[in-house]
Amino acid sequence: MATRAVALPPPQERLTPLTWAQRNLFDGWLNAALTLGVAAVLGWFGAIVWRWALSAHWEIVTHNLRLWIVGLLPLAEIWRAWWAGGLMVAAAALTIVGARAGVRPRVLFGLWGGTILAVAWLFSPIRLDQIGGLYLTLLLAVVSISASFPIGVVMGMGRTSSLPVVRLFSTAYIEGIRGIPLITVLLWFSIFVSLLSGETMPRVARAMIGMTVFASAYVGEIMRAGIQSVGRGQVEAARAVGLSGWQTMAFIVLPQAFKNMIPALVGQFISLFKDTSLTVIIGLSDLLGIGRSLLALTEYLHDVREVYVFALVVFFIFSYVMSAGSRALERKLGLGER
Amino acid sequence: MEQATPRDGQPMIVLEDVHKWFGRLHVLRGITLAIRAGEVIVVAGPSGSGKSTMIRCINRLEAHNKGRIVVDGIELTDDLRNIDAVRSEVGMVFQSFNLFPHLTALQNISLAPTQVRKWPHARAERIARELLARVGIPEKAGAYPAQLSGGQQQRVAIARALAMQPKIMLFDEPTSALDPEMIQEVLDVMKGLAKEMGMTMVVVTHEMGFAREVADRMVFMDEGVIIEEGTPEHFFTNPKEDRTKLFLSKILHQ
Repeated sequence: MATRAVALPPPQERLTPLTWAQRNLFDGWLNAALTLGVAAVLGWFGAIVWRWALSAHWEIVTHNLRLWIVGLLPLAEIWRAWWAGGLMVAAAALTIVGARAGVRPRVLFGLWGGTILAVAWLFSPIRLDQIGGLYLTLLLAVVSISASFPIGVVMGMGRTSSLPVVRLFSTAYIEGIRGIPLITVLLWFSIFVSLLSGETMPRVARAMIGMTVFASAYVGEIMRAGIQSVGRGQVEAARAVGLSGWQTMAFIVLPQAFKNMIPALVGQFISLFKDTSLTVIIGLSDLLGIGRSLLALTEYLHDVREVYVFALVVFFIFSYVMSAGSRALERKLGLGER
Repeated sequence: MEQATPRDGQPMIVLEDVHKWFGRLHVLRGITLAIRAGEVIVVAGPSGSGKSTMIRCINRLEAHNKGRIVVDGIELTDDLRNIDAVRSEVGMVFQSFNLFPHLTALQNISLAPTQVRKWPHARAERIARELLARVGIPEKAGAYPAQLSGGQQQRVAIARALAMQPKIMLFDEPTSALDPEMIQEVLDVMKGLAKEMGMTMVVVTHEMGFAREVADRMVFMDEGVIIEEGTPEHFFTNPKEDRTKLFLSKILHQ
């Protein structure tokens, strides 16, 4: 009997929350006991945190919002900070809308170029050491991320170079820096750089250099892995159609390498963002530094928990946004590949 | 001794006593071969016999260690200009296609002409569309490699190699990674190249039907040397060497 095979729709099963819970949480007395036990612990813990949050002295946050955000920036200059922040938020919003609407990348790059120039102009009369709080945290992160990326790319390419001198230099840099903790790098730059520059270089700039030097080594290593994740066959095919070594790098290897690098790279940048709080050690007043200064005031002496919970929430929000952005980017770039 | 029936012309590729080592492994042990313009050579032999290495030496994806290789009058040396010059005259098709996964079929084909030949985009794109039509998949211009079947990918790879308007095409086991039902569509494209365009072709393959129909000359290699060469007729009906007979009996009666 010859019957034709018919394409059937996949079976569909809709579970009510109740049957889902029965099947997954309460199937058998052991699972039911575990579910109830875990729920009890979570509820107990949540109740404690909730009660504390309601009775906590959030005045340390709400009364000092300006300090938390911009630090000890002179009041006369503070409008610059608000304008710069507003511009950045507007540019970010336009980017999201533009990307959804399929605007050309060139336009978005132009938008960001203009925004960055405007922000730089707004901040130009302000000394770096006057900036603090969340703005300093973001400034340190943005500067060290954007400076370490190109340096890291060059280091990573150098590490895979066929020229021994280039390879040796890159490897020495990467391995050397990776063997030193970030705190050591920061201290080293804040103390020893003054030997070369005198006291003229602001401490914030020293921190930026230290973090960039540190992060570049890690970006370089991610870059090396990214380059090596692109198959040998790709390079051979590119060379076989006559592309030069540089053209092969630019059009074939790097685009594929960057795509593979995104998760590791974003992980590195998130950790760099969080590591900005280590600059407290060299006396900068970033978000955490402001918190510690506030704790030194008599009226806030006992608000330690409030300060660190607030810092935790702020760091989490920014890190989570970066992480969500990277996932969106991966999905977008994954189109057409698999 | 004139065994082959060349169509016309001067030697396009000359290999003289070519040796190649991978570490201590002696892969090519003195290959001498002259290929005329318009000739179709099929290279056969057991795996590990050095067939792939030989054709990879012709566009210097591998550097030979001893002997001379002259392609279209240019000797392959360490001089990078010579290598680039030769590579833009020689197209290559790989066993595993090696299409660029981040580019569409059209971009895969037009990349090298725009970057190396400096053609304007419009011209490169027009030629790319013509080539896609030639290999029978004009509708796949906007598709990414992962959206194409193996046979379609290999045909895009052939079009990509042709886009540089090469004088020579090298094929390194072009159908070995394909599902059986897709082999014929790739072989048909290759036959078209040989018969309609008169392309000089060096093909490493186990497709003996293709060899019988298209090859001007068969080359049989084993252990890094050429054991026997001759017309397909000679090769299939009256091989001289025992190793050739053994290989043929294995490959034809499997």
